[in-house]
Amino acid sequence: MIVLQSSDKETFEVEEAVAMESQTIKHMIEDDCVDTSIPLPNVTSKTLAKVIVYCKKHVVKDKTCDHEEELKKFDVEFMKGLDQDTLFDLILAANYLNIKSLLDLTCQTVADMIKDKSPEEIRKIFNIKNDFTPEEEDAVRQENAWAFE
Amino acid sequence: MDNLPSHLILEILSRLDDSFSLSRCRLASKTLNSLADEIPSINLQCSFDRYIKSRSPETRSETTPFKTIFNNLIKNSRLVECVRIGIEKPLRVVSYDDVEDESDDLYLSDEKFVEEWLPKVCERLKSVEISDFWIQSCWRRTEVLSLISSHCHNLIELDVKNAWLSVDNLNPMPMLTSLTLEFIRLDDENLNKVNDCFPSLRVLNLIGVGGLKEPKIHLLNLKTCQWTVSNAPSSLTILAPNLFQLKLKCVKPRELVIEAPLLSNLNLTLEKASEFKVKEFRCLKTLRLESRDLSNLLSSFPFGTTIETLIVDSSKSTDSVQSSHLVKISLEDLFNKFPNLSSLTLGSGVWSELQASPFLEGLEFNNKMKGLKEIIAYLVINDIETTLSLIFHVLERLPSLSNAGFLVHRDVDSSVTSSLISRCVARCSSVRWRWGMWKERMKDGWISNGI
Repeated sequence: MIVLQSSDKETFEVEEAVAMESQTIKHMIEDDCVDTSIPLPNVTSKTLAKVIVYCKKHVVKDKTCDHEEELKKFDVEFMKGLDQDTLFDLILAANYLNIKSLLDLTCQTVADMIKDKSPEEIRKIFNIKNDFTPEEEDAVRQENAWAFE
Repeated sequence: MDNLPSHLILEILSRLDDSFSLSRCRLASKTLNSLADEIPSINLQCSFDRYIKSRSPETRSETTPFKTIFNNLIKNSRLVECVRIGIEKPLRVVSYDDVEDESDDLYLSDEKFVEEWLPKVCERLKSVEISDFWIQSCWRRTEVLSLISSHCHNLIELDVKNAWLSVDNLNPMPMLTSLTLEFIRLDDENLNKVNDCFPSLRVLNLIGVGGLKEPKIHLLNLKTCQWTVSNAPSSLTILAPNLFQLKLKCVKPRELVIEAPLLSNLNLTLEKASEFKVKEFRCLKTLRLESRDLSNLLSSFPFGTTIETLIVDSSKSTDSVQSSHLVKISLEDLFNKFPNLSSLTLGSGVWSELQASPFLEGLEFNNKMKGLKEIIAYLVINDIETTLSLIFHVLERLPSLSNAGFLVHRDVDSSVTSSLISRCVARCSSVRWRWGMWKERMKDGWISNGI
């Protein structure tokens, strides 16, 4: 069993196989720089708890046909309940912990959210501001007018 | 979340996979606009709406021509590595009767159009997909393959759909490892040019490719092949010494030759072949066979001692007189031919055939399949007692069985299904039962995983 410590000092005990879904943790363990617990200063307990739920489900090595179906269903449900903040936190965590499948899943979810949306709606999703000057905005809009036809 | 670093925003944008959406992102902020420049792929698909708008007199003038949009995108993306241009699904099914179209605004495989943009990006191009508009392309022969072969020296993957392709002046493309031609009229009768010019192919998909006479696939590096032939060419030949996986669907070739000694996975659907020449498959592990005359196909198939997973089905013949002449398949045939199976799947056609034969009299239980662990069957229930007899008979012959999956047709009454399930489970509790539902042209649904 491996102990993971979140940024807010909460500890989580997980099986080594589950923890090794993260390439970052895997390298730490293999390079023998692990003490009693692994500190993860970039991941809050709230996010880490969710990451662990995901890794537990995805660690099973049994590659049967139903298992693939089950995993797909799980992934859909897993993404369903998430609010925007948690979703973005998961992307950052998946990137830091180097869990490719989780990064794929979370980024694809956001991509699906912004597809077919207007620029204003896209800004809301990313929580970004419109930093174009009116002239700049006009120029970009002209060039991409066809996308709004 | 406003703190997402650029490379992660890029991860999201690159999964957008649609140039229309990406362009709308450009207007959201300066950061998104500059990041969009770094996306190495273009995917532009023409929607049905756009097609209608470009033709209706009221909206025609405000609709930018599709090819113009594409050319502009190319102009701004010199670093692009993957290009996809095509027609969205609803537009693909538009038929001749609905539309009269002599124009060429959506004739995407036109070499004159491709010449406008290809030279600008050909150096970096690794993957190209052109999905043409059949109504405008089917009566025009294009030399686009020659154009691509002379410009794209780094192309790895090529996919062309719904076009009439000439192979004149085709140059060798030794870097190409994947080729997909779908609904194509190909002027390369025996695939000579394909074999000569694409020698490094590892993946070849020929789906609904017409214009072939005596096609022969002869590729030394081929690993995966899918070939669907709907008409009846004289002969079909596959010579691929490194082929690992083959899916072949054909009707009635006069001669079928397969020389693929390393083949591990074969999916063969064949109505009938007068001459079926197959060399020994020393490595074949997974086999799926479907035929109107399964018994005959099995007898011409080489010995199957290596096969671990077998899926068989017989497709229903519309001509009942013809099918009554055919020899019915028996479990004996299957067990003798494939003595080392660990998993067997019986399609609904085969199940019907087995139910119809008099298997109950004079049973010899010498031939038990000791290695068989899993059986899956698509049940056809006309009379529950007959079905149960066959299920129990099968179970008797499989002493090592651990998994049994049975699918019941969706139209079967639920009381019949419940009765079936309870009687099966009562009969044999040592097996892990799985139950599901099947129906023609629908995806299978498994109800429960173990009881």
